[in-house]
Amino acid sequence: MKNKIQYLLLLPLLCIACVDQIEIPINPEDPVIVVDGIFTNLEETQLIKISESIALESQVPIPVSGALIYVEDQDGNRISFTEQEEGNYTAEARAEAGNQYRLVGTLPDGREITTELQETPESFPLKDVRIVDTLVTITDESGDSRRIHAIDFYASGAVNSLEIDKYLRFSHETVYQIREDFCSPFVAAKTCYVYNDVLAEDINLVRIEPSNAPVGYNKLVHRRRIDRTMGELFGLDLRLYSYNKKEFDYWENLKLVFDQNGNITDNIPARIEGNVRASDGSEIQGQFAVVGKTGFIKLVANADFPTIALPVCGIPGFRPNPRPAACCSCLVLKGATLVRPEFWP
Amino acid sequence: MYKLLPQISSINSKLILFLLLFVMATGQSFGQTDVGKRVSISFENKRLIQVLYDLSVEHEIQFFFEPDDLPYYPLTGSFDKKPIYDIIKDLTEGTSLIVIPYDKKEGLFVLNRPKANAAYLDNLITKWEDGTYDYPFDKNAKELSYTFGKTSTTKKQAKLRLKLFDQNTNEAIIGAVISNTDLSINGLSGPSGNINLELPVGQYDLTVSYIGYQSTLLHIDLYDDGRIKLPMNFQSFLFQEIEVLANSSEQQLSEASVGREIINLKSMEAIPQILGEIDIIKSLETLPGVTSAGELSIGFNVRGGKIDESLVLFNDGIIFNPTHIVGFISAFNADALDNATLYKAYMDPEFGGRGSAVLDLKSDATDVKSWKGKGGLGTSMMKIYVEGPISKKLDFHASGRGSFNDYLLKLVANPELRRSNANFYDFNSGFAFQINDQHKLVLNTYYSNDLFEFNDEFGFKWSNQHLGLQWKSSWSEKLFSSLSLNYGAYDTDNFTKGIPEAASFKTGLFYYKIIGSVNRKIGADGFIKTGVEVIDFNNRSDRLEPSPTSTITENSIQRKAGLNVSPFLTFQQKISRRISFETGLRFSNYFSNGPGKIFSYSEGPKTEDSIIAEEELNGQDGSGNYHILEPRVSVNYNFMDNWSLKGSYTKMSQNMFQLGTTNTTLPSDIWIFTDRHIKPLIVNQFALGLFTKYKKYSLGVDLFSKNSRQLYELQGFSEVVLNEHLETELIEAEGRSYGLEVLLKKETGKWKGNIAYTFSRSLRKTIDANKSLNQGTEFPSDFDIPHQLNILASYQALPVISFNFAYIFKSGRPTTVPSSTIIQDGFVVPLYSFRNQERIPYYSRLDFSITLDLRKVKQTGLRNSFTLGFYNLTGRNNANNVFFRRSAKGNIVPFQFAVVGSVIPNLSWNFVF
Repeated sequence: MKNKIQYLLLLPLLCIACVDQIEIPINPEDPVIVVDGIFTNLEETQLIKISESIALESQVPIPVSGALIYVEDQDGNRISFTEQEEGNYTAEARAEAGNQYRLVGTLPDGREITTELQETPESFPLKDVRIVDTLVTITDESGDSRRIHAIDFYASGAVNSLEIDKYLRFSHETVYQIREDFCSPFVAAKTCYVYNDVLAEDINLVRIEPSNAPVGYNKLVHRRRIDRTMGELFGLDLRLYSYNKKEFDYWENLKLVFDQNGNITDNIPARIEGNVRASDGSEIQGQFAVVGKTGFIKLVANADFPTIALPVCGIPGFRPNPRPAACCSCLVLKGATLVRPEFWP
Repeated sequence: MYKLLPQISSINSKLILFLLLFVMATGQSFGQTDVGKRVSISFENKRLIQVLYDLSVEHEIQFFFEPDDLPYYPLTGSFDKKPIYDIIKDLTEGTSLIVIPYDKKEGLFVLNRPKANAAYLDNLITKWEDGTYDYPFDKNAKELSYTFGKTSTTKKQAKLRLKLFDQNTNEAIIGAVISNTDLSINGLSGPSGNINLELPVGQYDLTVSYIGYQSTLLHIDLYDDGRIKLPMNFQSFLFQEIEVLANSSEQQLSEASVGREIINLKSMEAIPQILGEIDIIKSLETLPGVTSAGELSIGFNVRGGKIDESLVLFNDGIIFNPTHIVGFISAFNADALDNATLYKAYMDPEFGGRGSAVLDLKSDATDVKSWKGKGGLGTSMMKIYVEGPISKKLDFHASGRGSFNDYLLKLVANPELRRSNANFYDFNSGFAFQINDQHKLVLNTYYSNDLFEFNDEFGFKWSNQHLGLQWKSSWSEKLFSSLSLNYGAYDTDNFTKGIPEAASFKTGLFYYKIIGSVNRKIGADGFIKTGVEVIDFNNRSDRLEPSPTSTITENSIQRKAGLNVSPFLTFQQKISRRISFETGLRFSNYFSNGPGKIFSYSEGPKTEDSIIAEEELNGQDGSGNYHILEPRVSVNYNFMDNWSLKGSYTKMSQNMFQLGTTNTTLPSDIWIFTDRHIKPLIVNQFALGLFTKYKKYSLGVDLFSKNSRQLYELQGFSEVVLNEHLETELIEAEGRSYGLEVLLKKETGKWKGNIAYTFSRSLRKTIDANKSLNQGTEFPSDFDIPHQLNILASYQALPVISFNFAYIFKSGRPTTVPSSTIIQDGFVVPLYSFRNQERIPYYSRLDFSITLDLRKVKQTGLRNSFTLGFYNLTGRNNANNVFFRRSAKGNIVPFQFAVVGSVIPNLSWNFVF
């Protein structure tokens, strides 16, 4: 009886809020040019991507080919970027400390694009990445929760003192290894490297205020579910970008529209404004940012954490059934390539 | 035919046998007594005791009963040539009363069964015969005669002054009506119970009447000035408390004000509510022109205005967040309210400070004759209200409510809910001290407190406080004054937990308010009022307080506030039988005050980068003063007896605004004040209304048009938390709203209800030279609801059982949706279109409740009512907002968030004592 009364009392509370996927009419707009460029202070291949905005249901960028792209310093010296792949413009260069740089270019349709000059920020240390084996509760898009084993990657770094505000963003690439089985005497088993197989979860930003005392960060930068993809070797290529404030604010705004989850504290979304301007005043989306960069490679083998994870294709005596198609042809996996990462052991 | 309750199935056979024998022993049978006489009778809203009295007088038949045994809910019925005995049987069917004929006198016993035995019957008869028991009223009016002066007088005119008071308590009777038969003479008694008439000398028959009191017929020979002190008899059985229809059709026809809605607090009981609790704020949404963002809305929108454009007053105190649980229910105990008036268009110049509306709520501790109370217990909250006379001069009332959701949340299986809290309490009290006949002091207090926390992750706390002292005076029959001193505060805390950046963000403000007025009657139908309202607003600092392990540092800023001094003048006059008008002027003077910072900017858009100077303001900012005249006028024209045409013009200004960056207005949204950069909002509203009444129906049609200037929209990705220069986030805009409101009512009968339809638009356009939204084109405001339909229906199946229905439909609110996506460093990001170009799905909700109201079954003791309700009976998921996020595949898909996703039943018990 007591239980029955409790149930009746609870009835109103069981009828909690609901999140449902719906159809809503969307008026597609004409595509706009999107600039996605980072110019770092490291001597490496610098990459600027030019593409078009795409439909809401799509994820495949539409590259824009045939643009003329330069990075120009405060004295007018230009670094020319060449189109290596469609829409990807590269140069071997670096941003020098103390200099200012901006993007200058001409689109295939003749419009000229440019940004304001940006200082070259100093890098901030990325000293260590440690892993923690943990149990987490995740909620999927329909609101259902479940608990899973995961590896949390924590990045840390510090300085003895800091004179100015630091605006930092983490970015990363992941890669795991999969060795094919012996499936046919006529085909040699290959080893594939699968890049970025899961969606980027979070826009990870850190703001550090000036201090006379040691100051730094210790931040969760990546969470990976422990499954067969972690059964051989998993790599996290972590980058830490140090931004100027204006470019950092762009990423803060991006995070607001990226992190919508129906919470009553969700911010009202708005149209992002990038820092690239077109000569005719038309809209250009995206950002070109001059950043200080540091990086860290973290390789994780199954032996590095207590939870057992078998490789994708298993081990003798413990083969998955049915055998995944990737075990005979690993290139079927999204993001798979035979190109071995430079940092791979 | 009336079945009060299901027929009682078990009958005490021995008792009935005894009574039948008793009857037979008298040698009479039904058909031979007058109780078998066939009669025709019709009555509407009369109590059983009145029906018995009418029958006793008209057909010379006696009824024997205990007066306290009879129920006092109103009955309506019509019987055609039916035996009296059968009529009384029908009227008492389903109750515990039995009807037995008594043959020695032509009469009937109407008995409460458990008490019926021979000795009791004899005793009962004796009490009626010796006058111990009698009908507690006189159907006919008391008649009195007076003569003043002599017929040989040369005077043409004479003054007649009456003072009306309760015979038992000596308290003044306010609002009694004196009139002659053709209504060429009429007057109302004022605060001291006085009526003053100036009449040509002669003879008059005047009736003095007041609800609940025996009427008095005065035969007056008036040849010289005369005074009459008239005691009036309170007749409790005549006091039909539930049928006092506020904002009645007659009142609507005659009053000048357009857009004034006097809320019928009693009728709110018929509106099914989400927690089974009568809710003044939610009930407002059944009126045309009033809407909200949904269940999670800490206020209401009136005629296209924002939530902060509606001023909520409780006993002159300003209430900044009139809701609990982030908008689920209002923060006022409806049992404690005596008056509730919503001004949507014209309002007395005494009210001001907001652009759209004023909700004026009052609780009154005065004129309480005895200790009594009410209370209730629902599935998640409880309440109590008591009132009573502490002494002959001091009356008191107090009410309190509290929730007990926490206990229930701990029992839920969902771990996130188990780690959540949603509790609140509110309390208010009033002391009224009658110094003498002319002066009264009233002390009011109010306090509300809320905690809303989800899954140990984030939450809100907020509180409202008010302390007020009123001095009301009646200096003469024509001159009245009022002085009110008030202190109030509103504090909020928005906190996060369990993350590295865990912290509390606290804001708050407090004010001192004085409002004084003098009111002088002009003739019989007019008055002139003048006064001044002074409000000194002060902001507490906005503080970011990190938790002990937080990675962020403590920070605070101080915002400016201001002083508002607004003298006002109101003039109301009835020009003729058909035309009345009210006009006035409010002169709003605002002075921006520190402490706080002032920033100066270079030419061009105001941004953080264009700041060229910064100074601390500790006193007044001469560049932040604004003086605005607010003329107002409202005219009413009655024609064809049952029609009235009204028109009004109202100008309002507003110096304080609520800012937030979320889809829903939250308790943590900050209040900011006008200063040198942020100008006051100015709203001009024109309204036209047509009203008519036909039998039990009334119909009102209103048109309105508002234009707003010097309003501000937040630009995209604004930061308001700890932002000392909010002017850099604001874009100046102008707005316009217009609409048509239709309200059809049926106020009496078994079926009662109303249908309200509103068509309205609320549009915005930025006019800032340097920044814009939507490229400067017009766009719908956040609360642009083109269509809204409310249907309320209540069916009184039995005097104690009613079925209540409420249906609401409204267009979806505007929302901003993405039109494409871009890719930045591997992130697929939605690219949003212009603001408010699409709408969330429409809102449709049906509520139902059934009430068993036994509070009117008897007059004294503990009396109960029970309500079983179903909120959102169809279980529809009404979207509170629409948002976009990535699916598992990575593409952007739309989702909707519905606060209430299924039927919510509620059960509540209410009692009076």
